Amino acid sequence: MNCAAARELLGADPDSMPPEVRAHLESCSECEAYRGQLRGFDAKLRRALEIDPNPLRRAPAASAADEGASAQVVRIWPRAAGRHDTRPTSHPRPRWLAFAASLAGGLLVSVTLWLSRPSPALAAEVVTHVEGEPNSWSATQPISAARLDAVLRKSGVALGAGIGPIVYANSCWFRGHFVPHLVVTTPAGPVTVMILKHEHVRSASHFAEDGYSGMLSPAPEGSVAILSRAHVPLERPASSVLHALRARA
Amino acid sequence: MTDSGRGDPAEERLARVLESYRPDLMRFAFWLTRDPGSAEDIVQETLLRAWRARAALRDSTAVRSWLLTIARRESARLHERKRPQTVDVDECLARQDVELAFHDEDPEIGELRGAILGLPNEYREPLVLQVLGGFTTGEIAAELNLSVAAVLTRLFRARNKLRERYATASATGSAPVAGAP
Repeated sequence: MNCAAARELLGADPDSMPPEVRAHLESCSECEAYRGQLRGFDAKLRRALEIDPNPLRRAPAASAADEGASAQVVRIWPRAAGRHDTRPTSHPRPRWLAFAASLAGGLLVSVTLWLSRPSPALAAEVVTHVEGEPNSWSATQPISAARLDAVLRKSGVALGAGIGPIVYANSCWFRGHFVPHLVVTTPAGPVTVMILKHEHVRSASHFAEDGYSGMLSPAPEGSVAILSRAHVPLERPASSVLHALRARA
Repeated sequence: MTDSGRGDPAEERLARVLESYRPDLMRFAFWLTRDPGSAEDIVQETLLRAWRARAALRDSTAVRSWLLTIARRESARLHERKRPQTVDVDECLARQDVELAFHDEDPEIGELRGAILGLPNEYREPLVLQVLGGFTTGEIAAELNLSVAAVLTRLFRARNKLRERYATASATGSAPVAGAP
C-alpha cells in the first residue's frame, strides 16, 4: 500500500486500522504523523458536532402560542418559519457578556415569536399523532366500559355520560405523558378526542391541515383536542366532552 | 404511541429511556436537516415510531443506534415528502437559536460548526452518521444505499474539505466560508 491509499483510508476513518494500513504505518513515519493529526482533528470534529440542542427546541409546550390564538383558523405546517434574527455584530466584548446578551436576545425573540406565531405546535403534534393511528378511524363497535375506564384511569381522568358511542380508546404516549386517545361516533361522522391534561390553552382555537379540521379547547384541567377528517362541526362534540370530563380522585 | 392501557413498569422505564435520548436525537436531526423545526419534527416522529415498535427492540444496549437509524430514515422521509427548500447556510447561522446552540468557549469550535453546516449533504450525512452516530462504514453504506467504497470516498472528502476550511479560518482568524464548497 502506498501513502496516498493509506491516507485515503485514514481520512475516511482515522480510528480504524485495517491490517494493510497498519503495515504501512509501521514503515512510514509521515503517514503515522498524518494519522495523529487526523485523530486530533476528529476530536475537535466530535466536539463541534456535540452542540447544545436545547436552544433549537420549541418551547416545552405550545401553550403560549395557543394562548394567543383565539378561535381562529390557523395552518399548522410549516411550523418553524420566521424564527430569524439578524447576525450579531462583531464588536469585541467580554465573552460572558456576549453570551448573556445573546441569551437575553434569544429569550426575547423566542417569547415574541411564541406569542405571535400562527401555527401551534400542539395542534401539529395532535395531527401527527392521529395520522400515526389510521386504524382508529375505522372502528365502528363501541368499546367496553372496562376498556374505556382502564384508558382513562391511566391518565387520571373520567368521563360522565353524554358524549356518544366511543368506538376506539387507547392510552397514548404524547408529549411525555399517557393521554386518552378516543374516537367518538357523532351523527356527522367520527371525531377523535384527545384529553390533554398537561397541555394548557387559554382559549379555543381551530386549525386545519392535510384534510383534518381540529379544535383545541381549554378544559378545567389542561385541554381537549378534537379532530375530524370530514370537517364535522366540532363545537358540539367538544362541548359534550368538556361537560362529561371529570378529574379522577 | 399506544399502550394497552395498563401501567407496566417496564414500559414506563422504556419510555423514560427513550425520552433520555431526545437531546442526542435533536442534535443528530439538526445536523442532518440544518433546520431546527424539521429536526424537532423528526425527533417527535422518531420517538413515536420507536414506541410503537418497542416490541422489536431486543437488545436494550442498542437503543441509541436504533433510535438514530429511525431518525435518519425519518429525515429522508421528511425530505422526500416536504421537499424542503435549499438551506441558506448564512441565514441558518444568523438565527438566534442556532447561534446559541453553536456557542462554545473555543471560537475554533464555532468556526468548525459553521464549516460543517456548509458541507453539502452528500458529505455531511455520512460524516454525522460516523462521528456523531458511531456507525461503521458498512452500516453507513447500508443505510445510505451506497457502496462501502463510495462512503469511504465521501468521508475522506468531507474531512478534507473541513480541514481546508478550518486551516484557512485558523490562519486568517476569520470565520470559514459557510456557503457551498
